[in-house]
Amino acid sequence: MLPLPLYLSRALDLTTSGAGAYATRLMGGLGAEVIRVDRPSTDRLNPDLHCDKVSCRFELTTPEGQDLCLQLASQCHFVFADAIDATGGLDYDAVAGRRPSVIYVSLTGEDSPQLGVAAAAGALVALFHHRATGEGQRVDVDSEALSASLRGLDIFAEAASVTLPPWPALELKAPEPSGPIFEPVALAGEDVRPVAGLPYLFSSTPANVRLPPPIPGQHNDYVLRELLGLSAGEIERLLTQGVVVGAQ
Amino acid sequence: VNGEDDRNGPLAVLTIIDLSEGIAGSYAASLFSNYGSRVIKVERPDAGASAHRMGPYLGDKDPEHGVPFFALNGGKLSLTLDYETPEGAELFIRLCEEADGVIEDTPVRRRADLGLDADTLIAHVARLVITAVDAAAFTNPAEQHLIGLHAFLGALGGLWHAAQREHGQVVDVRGESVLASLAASGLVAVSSAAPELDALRVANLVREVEHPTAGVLTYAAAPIILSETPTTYGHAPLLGEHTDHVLHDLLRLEASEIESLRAKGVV
Repeated sequence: MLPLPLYLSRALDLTTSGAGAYATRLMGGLGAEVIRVDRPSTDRLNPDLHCDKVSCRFELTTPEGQDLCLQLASQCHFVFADAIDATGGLDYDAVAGRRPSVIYVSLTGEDSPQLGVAAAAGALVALFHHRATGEGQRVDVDSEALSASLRGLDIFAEAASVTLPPWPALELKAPEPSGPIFEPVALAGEDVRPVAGLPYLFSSTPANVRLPPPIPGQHNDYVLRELLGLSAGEIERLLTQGVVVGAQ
Repeated sequence: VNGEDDRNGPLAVLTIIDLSEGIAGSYAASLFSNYGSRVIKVERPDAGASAHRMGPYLGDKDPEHGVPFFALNGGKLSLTLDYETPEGAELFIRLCEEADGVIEDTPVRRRADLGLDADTLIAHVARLVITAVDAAAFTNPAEQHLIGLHAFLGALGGLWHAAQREHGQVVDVRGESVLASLAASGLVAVSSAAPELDALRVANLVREVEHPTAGVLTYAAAPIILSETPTTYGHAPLLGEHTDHVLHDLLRLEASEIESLRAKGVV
């Protein structure tokens, strides 16, 4: 078996919406290392949206928390964000100032799973441009533009004064957890339960769930020590001052 | 010819063969076209059976101007090719040699006995990514579009893998799995009413494209906006509009060869 498509790439997940979580869950499923920055108030993550991620927990309202986040962002190929205010001003310009090649995916508008799919697709589209030129860019995914595209058939017909039959209402029924995309995953402190994997089958790369959903803050040490190179003493100080919040 | 002279979008390096006749696959392939890929729609020469001629039709009721086909295939090139014949299959393999990916839906018409099964094709063209979309069971166009959007991401995943490692594969996108994944997210996939055309014009979310025989066509803008790379829009092709262009410029066939294939009904 070959490595997954996004093997050796890293995505920072600063999102707070379901669409953002779904986008980075898909990135993780495609093989990216996904690092979530959780907020101190987050104590549990939905297993169906957060497998294949690791989590650190920062207080983003503090300047030092924001700076840690920026340092981390500058070590990532992708950044996903859906509410710039909630990320302590970590917008595209701030990250690109440190890492010009970053692909910064911004999600706006109404929360929906399809917005997450479009965001992950946008990241890959920008990745092809990056491969050709070395350049990064900002990728904007907005629910209004996405709805227009998904209703393009109607828009085309209306503009041409042609009537198409109306579409039935769309209802997504909760899937059977025994269905094709579900895999048993051992959750922290709980039993094994089925969680949703990637909805594609790649014929020559495995697409199993690699990591169970993290407990928020579970990977503080990995992020601070291995990625940011902080000493044990500095990490201790950040924890004491509440800039970094440990896992519960 | 539909952007052939200046492909500069982020996916301009890719050539995609679009065999799909349904909404999901056609939509996924049209997104590749929006981001600059060369997308070649391969259609059967016996046009009567083709999705190309499904109504309703634009103003003049010309069966060449079917609305569903026109709406879902903007910016693509149309090649008529009967790849269910030995000679057509041979040409199809040559086409795959010039391509990066195939997007198809069910029923699959590639014939294994003519060497067009996925394993043989990928053994021959090592980087080829075949995205197989199975959405035939879904009758709601809204479901079809969601499956198509997910197929776009799945195809991109496979194509990125192939670009890194010269290793193609089949990406199986089953409608049932896509809808299960969307539902398992716990989010509501809002199915809003069709957006108001005037409001979309104000928001700059539609693009108008001149068609040689059908007048001005209006397409929804590409759904993902990239800060440094353009999106491109073209009109949907007439049946076989680019057959000569693809055979001559891409596959380097002589005019006499094309004529002979045409006489035999292969193209």
